[in-house]
Amino acid sequence: MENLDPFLEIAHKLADAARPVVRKYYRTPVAVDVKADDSPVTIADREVERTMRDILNAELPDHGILGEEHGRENVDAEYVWVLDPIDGTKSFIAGKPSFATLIALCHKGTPVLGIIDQAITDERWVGVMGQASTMNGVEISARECEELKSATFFTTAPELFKGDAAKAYAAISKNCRVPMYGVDAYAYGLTALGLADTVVETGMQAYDFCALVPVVEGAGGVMTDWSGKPLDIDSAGDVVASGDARCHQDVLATIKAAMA
Amino acid sequence: MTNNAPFLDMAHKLADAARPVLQSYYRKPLDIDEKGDASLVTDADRAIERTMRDLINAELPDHGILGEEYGPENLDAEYVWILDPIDGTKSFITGKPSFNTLIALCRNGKPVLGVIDQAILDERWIGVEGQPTTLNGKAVTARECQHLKDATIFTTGPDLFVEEKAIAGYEAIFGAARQPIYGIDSYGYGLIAMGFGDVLVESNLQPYDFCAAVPVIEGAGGIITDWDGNALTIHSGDLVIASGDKRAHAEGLAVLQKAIAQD
Repeated sequence: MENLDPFLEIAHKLADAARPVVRKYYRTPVAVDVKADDSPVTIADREVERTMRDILNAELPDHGILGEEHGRENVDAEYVWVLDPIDGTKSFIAGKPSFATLIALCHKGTPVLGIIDQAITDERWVGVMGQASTMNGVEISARECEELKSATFFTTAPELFKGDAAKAYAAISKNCRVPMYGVDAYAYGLTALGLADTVVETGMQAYDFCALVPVVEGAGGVMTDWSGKPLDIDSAGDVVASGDARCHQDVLATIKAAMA
Repeated sequence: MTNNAPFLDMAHKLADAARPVLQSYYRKPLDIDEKGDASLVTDADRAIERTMRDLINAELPDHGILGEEYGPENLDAEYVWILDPIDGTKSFITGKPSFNTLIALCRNGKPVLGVIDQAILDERWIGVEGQPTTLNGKAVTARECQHLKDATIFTTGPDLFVEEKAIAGYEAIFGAARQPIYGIDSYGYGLIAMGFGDVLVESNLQPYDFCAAVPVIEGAGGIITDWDGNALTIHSGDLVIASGDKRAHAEGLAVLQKAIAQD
């Protein structure tokens, strides 16, 4: 793998380009009955992703791109960028600043660079494989938390867990110290800052989780699928991220027991 | 009310006093294995409420005060201030800026002035009875949402509904709405007042959790009541529903009542 510094520069450029577009559409009026296709979030999503793709195509033409809005380009390339222009679209629509722009770079499928960018609160988490994660340029680290029963647990919404996954959610929310809801990718940033302990989500796509992996791991945390396997661009989207590896094992065991 | 201008000044002064304290305690590292987090927040809560009470006692000595941290003072007064220095302490502890400082003034038990202040995002909603609600000085209005089935509905967390009646109501109304959004704390009232959400339901609330929301929601054209549809006062119970549109509110109340009756 090449030195990632030049790619990090590009990643910052992508996040910088996303911000004014996100801000332009944030808290613009939304009619309750608006159809999904012409909602401000859809327009913003497409415009942000187009802007980022244009930069990548111009600067790194041999890299692949996987994005939420405009599909796949050259995803067999050694390096593939994974983009979610607005992760947490429901929060975006509700004017709640917990959504984020997610930018990841995968090398042979493994996420090696990730950015979580919050355009309204002006917060940017950066993770690069093998380096300490930062928030707005300052190094951050996750906190210790030995067990689920001491953990502050985050997820977006209980009804996203269906079938057996609902059993896993029920067991975790019952056995943790404090369950917290509704913060989308922002929860992984809070875990990397040492303000929360574990995040459990289901049904995610590559563009929802790839950017989070280097941020969480570079802060000393762990992020895997529900069976404990490392996440790559092809992983199914059931994920756990924890600030402390011991708590992570406890969460994985809790999920396994609940779904057995 | 003709003379609320001086009291509005006081409300701003109280919110201004809370901000630097909140900012100084926000996202401070905590050892979660200790009881440290709770006591740290208690320190911030108490420091803010003490400052607020001192201001009120010095300038409006005949007004009463009801706060979360210290005992009631002179609740039989015509005017009573209701203070929650940090509403949403769990969010505050996790560094999630949906907590708020809530300040209400009740006249003969009825909320006539309310402030929802978010110290980190620099957002202050003000509601004054009979006047349009503002966010950072700019008038805001709730949006139309005729039917509950089209509504974006807010609450903080499903596990905060504990009593059987509250759980039945929560499940029924969330099942009937279009889009549930969680983790909202009192920030949800501000979003409804701005037209970005439609309905909010909570249980287990105290007067200092909801009094400030009443003038904010009503001044934006919305409605806020208990689950029986009664107007909220300093004496109301713990079940609250707020809506931007009276028609969705009426449907929400009907769903809650039916669910409770069947439970």
